[in-house]
Amino acid sequence: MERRNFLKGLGAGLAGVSAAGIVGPLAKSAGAADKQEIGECKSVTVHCISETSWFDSPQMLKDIKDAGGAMVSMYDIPWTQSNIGGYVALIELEQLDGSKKLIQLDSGWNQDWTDYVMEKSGLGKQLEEKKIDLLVISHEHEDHYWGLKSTLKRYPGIPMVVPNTFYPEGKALLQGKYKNDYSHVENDVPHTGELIELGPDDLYNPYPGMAIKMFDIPIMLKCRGEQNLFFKVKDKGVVAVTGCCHQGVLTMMHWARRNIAGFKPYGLYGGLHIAAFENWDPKFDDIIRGVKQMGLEKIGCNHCTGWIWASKARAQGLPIVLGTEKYRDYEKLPTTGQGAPENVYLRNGDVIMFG
Amino acid sequence: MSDYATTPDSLGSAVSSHASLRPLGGVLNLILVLIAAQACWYFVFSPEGVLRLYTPNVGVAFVITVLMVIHWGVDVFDYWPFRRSWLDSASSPSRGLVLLVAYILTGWLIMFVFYYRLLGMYGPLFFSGPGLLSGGGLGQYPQTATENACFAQVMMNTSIIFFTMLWITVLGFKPWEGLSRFAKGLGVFFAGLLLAVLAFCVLFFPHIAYQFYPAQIFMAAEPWWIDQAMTMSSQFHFGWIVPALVLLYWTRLLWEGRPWSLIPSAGLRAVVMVLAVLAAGYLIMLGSNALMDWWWDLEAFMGGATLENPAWRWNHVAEMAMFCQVAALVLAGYFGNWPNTASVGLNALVRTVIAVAGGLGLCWLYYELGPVLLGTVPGVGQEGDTSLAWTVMLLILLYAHQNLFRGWPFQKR
Repeated sequence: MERRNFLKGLGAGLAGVSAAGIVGPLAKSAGAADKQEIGECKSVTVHCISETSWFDSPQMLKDIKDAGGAMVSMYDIPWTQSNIGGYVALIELEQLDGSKKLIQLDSGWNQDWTDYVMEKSGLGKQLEEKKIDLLVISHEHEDHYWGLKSTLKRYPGIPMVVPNTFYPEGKALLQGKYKNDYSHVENDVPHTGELIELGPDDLYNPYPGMAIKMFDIPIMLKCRGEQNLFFKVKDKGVVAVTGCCHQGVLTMMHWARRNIAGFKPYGLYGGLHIAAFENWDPKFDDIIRGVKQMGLEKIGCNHCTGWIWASKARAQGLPIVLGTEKYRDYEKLPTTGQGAPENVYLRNGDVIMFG
Repeated sequence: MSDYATTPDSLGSAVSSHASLRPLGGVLNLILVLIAAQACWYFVFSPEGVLRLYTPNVGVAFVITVLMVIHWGVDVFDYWPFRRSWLDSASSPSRGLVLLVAYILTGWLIMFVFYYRLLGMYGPLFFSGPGLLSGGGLGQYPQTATENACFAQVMMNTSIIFFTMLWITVLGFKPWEGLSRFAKGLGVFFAGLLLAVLAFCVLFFPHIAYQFYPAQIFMAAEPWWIDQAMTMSSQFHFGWIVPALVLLYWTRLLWEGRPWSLIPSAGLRAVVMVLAVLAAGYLIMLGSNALMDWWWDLEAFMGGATLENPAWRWNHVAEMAMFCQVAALVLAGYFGNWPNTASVGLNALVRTVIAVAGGLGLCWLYYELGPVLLGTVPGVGQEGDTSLAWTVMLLILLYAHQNLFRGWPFQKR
């Protein structure tokens, strides 16, 4: 428990709201002294359904700048519709007995694009056949959440896990009661399945070898809280799969080191939110140094990591996995990284396996 | 103004005259300033407001530039070029309005004309958003270029404020005290500028060289502070410069020249002051970081994010120092700089405790009420966000109200 919360708890008296434990797989996260056992899995395979939340970074930045900057609410920005895509990943969790679970991470943004990548990848059919076991929304940001209708119209009862910090607009979107013509977001298909809202003290362990952890952090564009998935792969170590990773890649991995029993750094997949808009800052050099010290074996990155960071990190010896050319088969291509000597991103259609 | 330097003669507090003011007037004025602050926030910063400069670096750079200009105008040039007769005879509201508008306009010219269109277009590009954009290249987009340029301005202007206030607090107008207010002001202006540029080269320039890809390795040394700071970011230096600046402010504001004025020799006093203020700023930075370790039960580490981000930690020390400075100005300006006993040492001690406690309280209020009143996201440690936008804006309003508007309308002087 953070010392600040401990002091707040004292103030609240012995009735202690913090004593309200949650039974079952949703457990309070551990203190430093008592690490959580999350079980083990055999392997984790991540399919990049779409990492292109936007196709042109300058246009994305222009939308934000014109609206007043990074502190403006994402619901108050008239996003350029021709520039937006969305972020979706499909995770295959292979358990020790050989059975599999399918987890969808995030629900995209532009509905046309999200429908398109879902159909192209086969995820759309899997949703219609209710073969997806769980939908995890990493955070409320437009590119990870606003395409929710594409998922719900195929499978409205899909079990979902979201951070418990959504703004009222985000909650209304989930209930199928939100339409905003200014920022172009709407959903009229209510979610009817089980909904788990994770708080910062929760660690959700739905299947052996997998856990979801929420970080209660303030995020640009008026968003709050992000969660990521941890997998403990037998004989290999812990893999973190992220949406945007606003919590910070090293903060996330250090949390796992402090709180997951038998932690050993192994792999990463997702947006790492470092040089999200391809600008550099000396702090990004800090992250390269820190990740090197962490000793990860396999890093598959894309989306908001920053091509510039992935390139520099690979040049300095980090195990950045190169992507294929499959993304060129998609109807829209990102501007970033075109003409680069190697593809340092796992792009649309790419697959990475840990195990 | 000629007694600005910390000397045994300056034991009389610059604000001791406030002690006799009626407390009700102070409270009413404070309420007025807070209302003005809310209006200013909406007009200048608010994401739902008019100018929407809370990008955040554009807004932060703007208020720091205005603060720098006010220091130049009031503390360095003693209101030159405004005539003394007008300053004394003008009504407080008209005097305050004219001066404040003049200083804000000058700040705007410095930021958007001098840095953006002159220095940053024909010299160091990193001071100008358009300058950075003119070269093109990966990452140089309007938003990022503007934010980076504004951060460079923040570094330079903070350095100027610190070294100007250091000179004036330690030496006053020496060696130009016998000259006209313009001439002696010019002396301090250039002395502060010279020291600031030299410090900028060593403390901040390496950050700028390494904020490009590839790093501009022939432009500056690799940030030399990395092992101690756990980051290559120059935000490390804000962590000690800003607390040291606040100590300089408090020398006059709360301490009535103590403890430096106890040293009779001017030369020794100057040396001790400079070394002690720098050392104290550094120790405050380290101590504050240790307190944050304890408060959040988390240690910052290289590459960490949010509360574990060393660069954010160092900047947060500066933010906390500014909260305390705001509290000190409120105490001095609106509550008669209480207490005012015969013991200067006791007064200084109690005022310091009140300022620190007030700063902590103000910080708590900022993070609790900010989401409602300012439109900030709940939580501490947001990437790229800083409370300095609000604190420096409030600092300007408080300072302007007390010095330019002379406490109008409820505190008549």
